[in-house]
Amino acid sequence: MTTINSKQVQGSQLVFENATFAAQKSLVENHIEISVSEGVTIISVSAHTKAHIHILHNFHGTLPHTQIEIRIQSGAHALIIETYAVTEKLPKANITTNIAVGNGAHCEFISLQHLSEGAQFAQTISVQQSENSHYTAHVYQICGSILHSKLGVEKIGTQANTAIYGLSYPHRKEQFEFDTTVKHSCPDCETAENFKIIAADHSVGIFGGMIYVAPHAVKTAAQQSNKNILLSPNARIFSKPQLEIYTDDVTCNHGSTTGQLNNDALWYMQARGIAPETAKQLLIQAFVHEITEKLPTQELRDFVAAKVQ
Amino acid sequence: MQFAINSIFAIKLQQNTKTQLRMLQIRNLHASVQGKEILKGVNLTVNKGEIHAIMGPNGSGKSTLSAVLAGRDVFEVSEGEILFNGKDILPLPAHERACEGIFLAFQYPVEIPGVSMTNFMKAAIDAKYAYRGEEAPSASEFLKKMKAMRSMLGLPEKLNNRSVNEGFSGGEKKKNDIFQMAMLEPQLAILDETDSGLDIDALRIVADGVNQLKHADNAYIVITHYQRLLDYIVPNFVHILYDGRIIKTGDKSLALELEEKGYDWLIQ
Repeated sequence: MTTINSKQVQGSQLVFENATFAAQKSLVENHIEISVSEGVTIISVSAHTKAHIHILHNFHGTLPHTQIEIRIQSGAHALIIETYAVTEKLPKANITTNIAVGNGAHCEFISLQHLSEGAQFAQTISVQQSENSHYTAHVYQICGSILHSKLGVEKIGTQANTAIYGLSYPHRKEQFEFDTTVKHSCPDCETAENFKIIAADHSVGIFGGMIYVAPHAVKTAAQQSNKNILLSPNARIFSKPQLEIYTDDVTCNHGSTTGQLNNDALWYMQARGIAPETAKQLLIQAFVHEITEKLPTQELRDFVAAKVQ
Repeated sequence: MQFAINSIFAIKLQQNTKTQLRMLQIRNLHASVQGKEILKGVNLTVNKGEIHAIMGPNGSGKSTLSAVLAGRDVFEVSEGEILFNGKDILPLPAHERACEGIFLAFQYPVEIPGVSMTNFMKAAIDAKYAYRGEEAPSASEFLKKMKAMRSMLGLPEKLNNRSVNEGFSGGEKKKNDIFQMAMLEPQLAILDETDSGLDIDALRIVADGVNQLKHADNAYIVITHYQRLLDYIVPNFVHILYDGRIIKTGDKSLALELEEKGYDWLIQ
């Protein structure tokens, strides 16, 4: 379904056929090691190297369960883009991904969920961040009947920074959900979360965001934002921002808003000759820009912008 | 015989010119919002090349008249007609009226966070040309014009990348509306209290811009509370709107008279 191809991600291309790593179809660079153990595919990026990895999941059976473990060794930089292709009409699939980001390592993970209209897809991404590591996630829920992203991050070393950007655009009767938990188990770590949902037609968008600050995790700086737009009176959005803080000396804030497109802005644009549909589109693009601008390349930004129409 | 033919021809020609000059005709316009009638039979004719000022106390229907002309759908027109260049525009939605050449400068220009002036203006210009079945100007022509009009109104260079009206001062917002008018070159511009919230310098810049954009083929309806603006934008006619009707029409001196005496002598 997706048109992101290997040209847009220079580097390694890893193909999974129904949860199984397909070595023959994949292209793996030298500094990336892949092994399979008890059904888990382990992808290891060597220390102090740079890796661009495109993971393509082909789903064609019923209920494939993919298990992946990604190890970003200390000092390595990894950009990982995950896309999904569905051939069957009503497939169900799930993926569990565990990511260990080593000392001083950087990991940027992009999940572009543009499946078939009937697809039901659940993903769990659990991240463990060591000292001085950076983890950035971009999760886009664009097409599928039920999409569920469970995103967990735990900081097991100090000065581990996390940024998570999520955009969900359910239509028809789609139901998309973000369920995030960020655990600050160590002092001196930062987290920034920004999630946006635009719900059209009879769709449902759900955001659950928990930021947990352990008793000794002083100097934690965490912020969480969830802004949503309802495009139809029949669409629904559920937002549940949560902070659990067990220490002083932290900076944490969260905010959640849900509303409609600004009628005055639509009127202003129409008074300038812009048709209502175009005006709405301009407002939607403006709304998502804060999320899409964080994507690392213009190609990815264009890809997502074209899907959010 | 020759003379008679000539004079008939001359009369016909005169009538034709008159029809061609007529741009806007509002006849017996009644409009209401949420069941409350605000316009109660407005009659107004605007010809090409004219400037009409509409004055009146608060709540007389001035802003409603401008919004109804521009096509805001919260107002319901129950009676009357609006002809623009001979065409009934009441069935047209707001964006099509704008493309026909009607422009409304807002009393309170709206902020649109995240939409850059360039994208906004480009969408408006493209819509206008598409409506007329013409090819829109190239990107470089478009940007060149943006630059020229921006400097005419003394707007900062960074305007292009800024979000529409976001973080603009009151004066900048009003200038920005006149900038949009300069870009779109409407036939009929309605300035709804464009002078409110402007200091003297900004007022002069806005008025200069408006005067520079005036030519024989376009027309303005200027809605204002104060005669001050009319020192700069000199009207051919001044109308007094009261309780949803135009109760008096005069020339520029009527505005001066109002400034002196207020509205009471007209209402009684």
